[in-house]
Amino acid sequence: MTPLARNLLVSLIGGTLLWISVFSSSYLNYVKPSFRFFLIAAGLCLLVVGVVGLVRSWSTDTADGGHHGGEGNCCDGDEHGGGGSRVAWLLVLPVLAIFLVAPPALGSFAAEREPTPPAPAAWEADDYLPLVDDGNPVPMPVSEFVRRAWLNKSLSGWDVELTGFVVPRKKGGWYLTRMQMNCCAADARAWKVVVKNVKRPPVDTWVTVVGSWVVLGADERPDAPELTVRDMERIPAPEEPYE
Amino acid sequence: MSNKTTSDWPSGRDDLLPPPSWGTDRAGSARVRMLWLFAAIVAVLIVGRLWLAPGIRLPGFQTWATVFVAICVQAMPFLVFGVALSGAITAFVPAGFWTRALPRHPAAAVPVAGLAGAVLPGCECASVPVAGGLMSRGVAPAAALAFLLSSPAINPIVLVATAVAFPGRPEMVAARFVASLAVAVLVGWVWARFGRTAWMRIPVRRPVEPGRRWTVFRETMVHDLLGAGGFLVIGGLAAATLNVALPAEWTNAVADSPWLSVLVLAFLAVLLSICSEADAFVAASMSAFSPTAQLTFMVVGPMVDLKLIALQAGTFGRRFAVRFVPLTFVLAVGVSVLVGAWLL
Repeated sequence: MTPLARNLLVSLIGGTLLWISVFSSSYLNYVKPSFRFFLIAAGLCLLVVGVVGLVRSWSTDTADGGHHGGEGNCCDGDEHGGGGSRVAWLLVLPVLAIFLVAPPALGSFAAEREPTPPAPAAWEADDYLPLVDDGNPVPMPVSEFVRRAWLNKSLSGWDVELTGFVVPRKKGGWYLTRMQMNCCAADARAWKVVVKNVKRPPVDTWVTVVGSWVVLGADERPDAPELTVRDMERIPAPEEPYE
Repeated sequence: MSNKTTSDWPSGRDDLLPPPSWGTDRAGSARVRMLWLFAAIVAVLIVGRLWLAPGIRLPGFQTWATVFVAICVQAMPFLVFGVALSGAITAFVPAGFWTRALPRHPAAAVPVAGLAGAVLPGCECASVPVAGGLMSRGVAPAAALAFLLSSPAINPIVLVATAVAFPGRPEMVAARFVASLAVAVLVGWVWARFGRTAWMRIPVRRPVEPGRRWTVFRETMVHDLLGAGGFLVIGGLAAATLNVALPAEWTNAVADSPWLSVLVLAFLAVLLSICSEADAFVAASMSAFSPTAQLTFMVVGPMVDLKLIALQAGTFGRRFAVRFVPLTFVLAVGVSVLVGAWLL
């Protein structure tokens, strides 16, 4: 790999990081919103390093007639075995994927594969305070609804408002689903709520529903808590697709 | 070659040698070709983003692409931080500093380097180039390897993340710290005793002249980033494929057997390649497994996983990786079981 190619590749990666974090919001499909600052810092750093390298290698190349003199001689010692420099071209792959595939946020395909997260441990029960009445349905993350339902905590008698996308269910009804990530989309978990009393909208449609929790008998143990939907509205996919 | 024709050949002479202009111009035309190649790539990206991407309707492939891009995007800032640090070590830290700061004997330097990993926040992607930079500055390989293993596992960010993921169970944090440090030091000692220099390709760095520090910093950074980054992509491809292809039910089926569950979570940590800042949350979510199995997951993950194996093979050579990776894996599983029996 010539110094020119190296610096062009670094600039391309830096530019791509800035594209997904500054000039579009597509980074939200892959990592948490709080990660944006790190992406911008890394993108700027790479772009500066790449462009400075380009300018430098161009001028030294021209100055001494095409022999790359000053540039790229720091580390030729370890270029010999292992193809260590050719493998760098693989870095084009994520760039190609970002632009050519523009991978969307995880949807029903990933959600169907994920098992329901297990019921929270008993000590978590203290995290959930009683809900406050202001006359309206209580908006709530799907993950909080599921946790409160498993803990049997302060949901009965309340109308809640949940937002998620539609995932088909084999055992009747459909799932209102929201993905949640710890770190990036590779470790996302699917929080699902069963809806039975409304006909299933097309798969992967985003909806906001208002409804109430179906209280279960002591011996019932379904794969996800159930919601009786009173009102449903289709919405465009939210900017932040994960919880 | 495309812009050269035989018209340059002097006509009428029976000359087998090409004209002098062919040789002198080659570097210049290679540069122009490279610029055209990148211009073409950028054009393909823009055209593809506008017309190709909106038309793709393949949920399985898109999910795979999302996971692959997510792994790369997530790791890139940490990798940039790591190669910047390794560049700074090469360019700005005087060559003699490390040999003075660490005990001379490798066996004594290993635990010091292992503990030093607790101070520096970095993830595993950053630690490989940093360890390479340390070795090229004269640090004993065994000590640099102990640092490589301990820094992503026991740094403050990871320990806080573990405490958050296992609230009310500080023994989990203690067990992770003790087990990870023990593995790092043991691997370092084994390497100091049995390791051979020939197994390892230590990055060569020439001495730095004072006036060129920034140039050396920049060049080292670009070099390390491209080397390590290429292998990160290989690891990302493998992890994304497994993530999408591995049926999730398999993992839950084995949770009941104590021995099997430890081994399964150990291999799962290798396959999933989750960064060490996040693996505690994943471990905590697998509450069907025993605490010892969860501990094994958190000890193995930052030390051995697909993207790390690829990074290590790329940085230190394949002959190194085939010895270092199994040694680390076996010690990590063994120590986790012992510490789990003791503390959990």
